[in-house]
Amino acid sequence: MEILIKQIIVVTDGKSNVGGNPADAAFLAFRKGIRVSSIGIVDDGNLSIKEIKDIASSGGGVYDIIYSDDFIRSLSAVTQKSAEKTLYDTLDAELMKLIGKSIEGLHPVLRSQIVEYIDRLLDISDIRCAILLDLSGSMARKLKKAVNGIIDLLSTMKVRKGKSQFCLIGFPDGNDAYAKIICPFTSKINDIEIGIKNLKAGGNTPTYHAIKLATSLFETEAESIRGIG
Amino acid sequence: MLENGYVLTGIHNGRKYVVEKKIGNGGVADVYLVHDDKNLKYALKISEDLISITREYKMLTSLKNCDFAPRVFELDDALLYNKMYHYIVLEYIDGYSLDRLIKSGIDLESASYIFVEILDILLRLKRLGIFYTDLKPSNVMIDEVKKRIVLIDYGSTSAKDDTVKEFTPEFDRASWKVGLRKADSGYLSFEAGMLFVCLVMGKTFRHDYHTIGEVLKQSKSKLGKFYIVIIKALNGTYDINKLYVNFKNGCFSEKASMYLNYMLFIVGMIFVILMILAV
Ligand SMILES: Nc1ncnc2c1ncn2[C@@H]1O[C@H](COP(=O)(O)OP(=O)(O)O)[C@@H](O)[C@H]1O
Ligand SMILES: [Mg+2]
Repeated sequence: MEILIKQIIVVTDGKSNVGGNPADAAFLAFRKGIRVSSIGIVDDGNLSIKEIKDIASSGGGVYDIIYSDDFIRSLSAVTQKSAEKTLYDTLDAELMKLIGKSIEGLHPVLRSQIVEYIDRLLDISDIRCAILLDLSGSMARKLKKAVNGIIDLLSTMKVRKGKSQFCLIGFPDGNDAYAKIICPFTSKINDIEIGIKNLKAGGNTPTYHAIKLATSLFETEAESIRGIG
Repeated sequence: MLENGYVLTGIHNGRKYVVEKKIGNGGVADVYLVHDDKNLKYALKISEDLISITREYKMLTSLKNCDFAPRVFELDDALLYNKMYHYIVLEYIDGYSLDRLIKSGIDLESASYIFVEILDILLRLKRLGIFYTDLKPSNVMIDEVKKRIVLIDYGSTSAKDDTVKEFTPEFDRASWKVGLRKADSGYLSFEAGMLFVCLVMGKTFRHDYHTIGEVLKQSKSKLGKFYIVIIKALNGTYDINKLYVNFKNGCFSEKASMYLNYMLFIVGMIFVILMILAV
């Protein structure tokens, strides 16, 4: 079975304050087959935990509330769990078609084989992941840790047999636009490293727009692939 | 989540367990001490995460005959507060985890004694194709009743050369930037080496405040004769078999090989000097 795992991970330390409700954008993305997860950094105490939870629950993803020291572990765990969810849901739907039962409907011991299959797919599936990095003023001090976490994630994903592509979006964009593409989808760690070298934080938190922008990137990708096919 | 005295009933197997108290929680699961209708005690590990609980069950059933892993008795579901939970029932380990030992402090000889046993377990698992990649103090328990070391938590073991799924940065080779997050012999040596440093130093080191060099420098005197082999373990590529053999022999062979190297070097130098003089 070939599965392309599409996911968005929102990283923020505050609440969104420009544009629509981020959970709505997450819901639309999920409807298009992109799973949206969120990581909330609580260091300064102005994080909206509800918003973080809502993004993940509308986006079909997972969330994690952390201190910035824990970012490396969290980013890797969230990426992993979100990919597991995609594979789980795909197999769940297949099973339903085949035998009219969901995975939860099986006897727990029988599920072992499904989990084994998920683990195998996790290693060989292609993953396309957009990381949305909050660049509002309060993130300035945490930016270095966030950047380290992203670089760390890239090198982890390299170990897998499947292909991984990442894209990095920052919000807000200093020049008034709501969000900017720091690095479009690439499988080269170098591209991302260059992109994040000169990041600066400052401004509002337009989370909604960032998710919208990321969703549209997945769509243009899909079209260009179809165009080739 | 579960109150003391709560009676949990399995949906599929129908067995009942009475909750005595909560004994632990980690990333994904909560662990409770429970007893059944015959008043036998168990540890019950419960989570909403079907994949990770099923994974652990599968792993533990394949380790049924190993005395270093808790026995697993069943896997079942329970409906709690309108949500589906999944749980495994485990042999209850009556003892304490290495966390406590690290807090109370331990001398070098006892630390190395415990450590050799841990390395032995890691190697036995590796021979079965299982890489235990989340080694840390809270996952190592000392069974006071059966007098043995038990590695708990098999939710995130890896197969050879797989990506390490769950990790703890303090014991993770990649976080310390001395290698990839990939299940291999060097990864195991690194996490084990770091665990030994923790045991001896009575604290854990954080990768974002220290470099490996600083960790080694600070722990040099306390590591004593194990210093050299720990340097090797923390370089990220050391063979865990060698780590085991060296510890088992009290690091004799490491020292011997170091002296041998010195000797060879000195002999070589003398030779070179003689050559120069001869010319
Ligand atoms: N079989 C057991 N017997 C006694 N205590 C246990 C047992 N299993 C787990 N625990 C306790 O629960 C804690 C968390 O368990 P663990 O399996 O490591 O969960 P997690 O996967 O969430 O980290 C452990 O540190 C330990 O204190
Ligand atoms: Mg644990």
